[in-house]
Amino acid sequence: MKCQKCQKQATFHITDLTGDDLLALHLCPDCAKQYLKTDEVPDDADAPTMSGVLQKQLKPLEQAAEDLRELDSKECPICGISFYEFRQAGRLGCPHDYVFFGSELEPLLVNVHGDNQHVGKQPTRGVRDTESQTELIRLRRQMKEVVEQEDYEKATELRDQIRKIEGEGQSGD
Amino acid sequence: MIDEKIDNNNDVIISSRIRLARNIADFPFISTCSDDQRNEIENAVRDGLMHDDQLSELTFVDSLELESLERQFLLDLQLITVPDPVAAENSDIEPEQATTDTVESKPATQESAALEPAVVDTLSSLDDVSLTVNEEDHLRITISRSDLDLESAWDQLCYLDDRIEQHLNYAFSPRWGYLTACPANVGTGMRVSVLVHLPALVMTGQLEKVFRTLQRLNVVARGAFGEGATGDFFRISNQATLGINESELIDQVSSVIPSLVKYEREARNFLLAENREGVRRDVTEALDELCKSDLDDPSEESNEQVMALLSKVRMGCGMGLLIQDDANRVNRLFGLVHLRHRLLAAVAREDYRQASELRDRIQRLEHGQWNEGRPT
Repeated sequence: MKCQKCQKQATFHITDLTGDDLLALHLCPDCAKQYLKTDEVPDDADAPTMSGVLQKQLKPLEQAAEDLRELDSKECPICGISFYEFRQAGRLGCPHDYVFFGSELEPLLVNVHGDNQHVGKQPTRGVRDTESQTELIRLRRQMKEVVEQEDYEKATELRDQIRKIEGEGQSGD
Repeated sequence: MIDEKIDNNNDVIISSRIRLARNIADFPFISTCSDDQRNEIENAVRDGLMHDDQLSELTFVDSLELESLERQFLLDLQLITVPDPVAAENSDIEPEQATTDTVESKPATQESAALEPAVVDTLSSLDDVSLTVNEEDHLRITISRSDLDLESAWDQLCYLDDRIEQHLNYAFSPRWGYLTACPANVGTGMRVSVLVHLPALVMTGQLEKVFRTLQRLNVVARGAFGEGATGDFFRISNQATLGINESELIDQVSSVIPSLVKYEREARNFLLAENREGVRRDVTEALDELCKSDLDDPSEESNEQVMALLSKVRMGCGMGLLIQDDANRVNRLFGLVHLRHRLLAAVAREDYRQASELRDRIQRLEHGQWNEGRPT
């Protein structure tokens, strides 16, 4: 059956009470959503209306869109790139994105590579964990900011922290 | 008439290369880098390499200048070796100098380093190595070869990678491997590719079938110099970079090449059997036109035209359809292109002594004094 408002497949069959009349509607998900949105539910209605029940049924659809919106606006605290920006450009902003967007990236990586675990060459100097790698990016950004504000005391502190991490990296672990 | 075919599969295989994508852990990826940070990355690479006794002789060349070397692909293609004693002696059209990869990558924004032959020697004769800074990844290290010996290319590249890593902290995670800006490169960060010339498979309409088979073997084929009319050149490369080690990746790509060469040769033989004279006429006409074309015209249209002509001429060489005189013309043409390329590179690194020598040789060659144009 086709939607009564457009030509798409009707998957929502709504029977609504308008005054004393029964109104039967056959709508596609988009038009159903639109209809239910504009449908004014009386404030004083205590009993759950048909519209109310259907509204609940539609929740998963809205939820999915909402989830995507939420995911898209998720921003990496280190480089500031949003998931939406990554989806648009196909390029990540910093190494920490592999951690921060990890759960979203994993299915994508498995799809592209058919695997989710690196094998093969490793850096010979030993591997620092991603946290200390990105810590440096964060600290450098902070240091730049405080230098711009001429807060050289804070800058000294940050510089020493950076040097400490760099020193740990040099020692090979 | 030259009847003997080209050895070493050179009629189909043009070159091979391995590229490693690396990023420095202490900086964000390029897309989120400020100009300052890009400069810092460039300096970090430069400083690191300067302090390495084997890498310190690197010549840094501004890649903005190198962008004018859009004819890099022609340089690749001069590996066409028409069976001709002149070509055999003419070391001038052998690849001898590293250049940046201007074919596959987007235009570089910062600097590129080219390994000079002197350094190459100490690195057990690297065929052709280039380091590109601040393209899609902080660092791309590429080794190119004119043959298919990818295993020894990998040994050399791995050694170079280890040396560079002594001076830079690579972004790496035990789970995801070398971290790259594009998730399609993560893991080994390695792309193995073989540049092949498949005009007969294109002409006989068998390409799609062959490529579908490749895809099942996790190997992808892409137009090497853009799609469309000029699409007789293809890069055959690995699809995945994660969950498979470097040697396996090399096997994956190189194992499909012999069949590919066989299919292309069968298609060429089919074309010859159908209409040998027609093919010969086509090839000769293409050569005439190629000799008349303006190789310095940088427009895309001209590129496409040149590529289409070049493809035919190259196929004709491979099929043994060219006469000695034609072979000489082809060699002269590629000699010229190569000299012009080296001239641009010399100017880019401010080596004006070499630039003036090259200019003189180009002028002599342009005036038809081929013998004088040969290297001493």
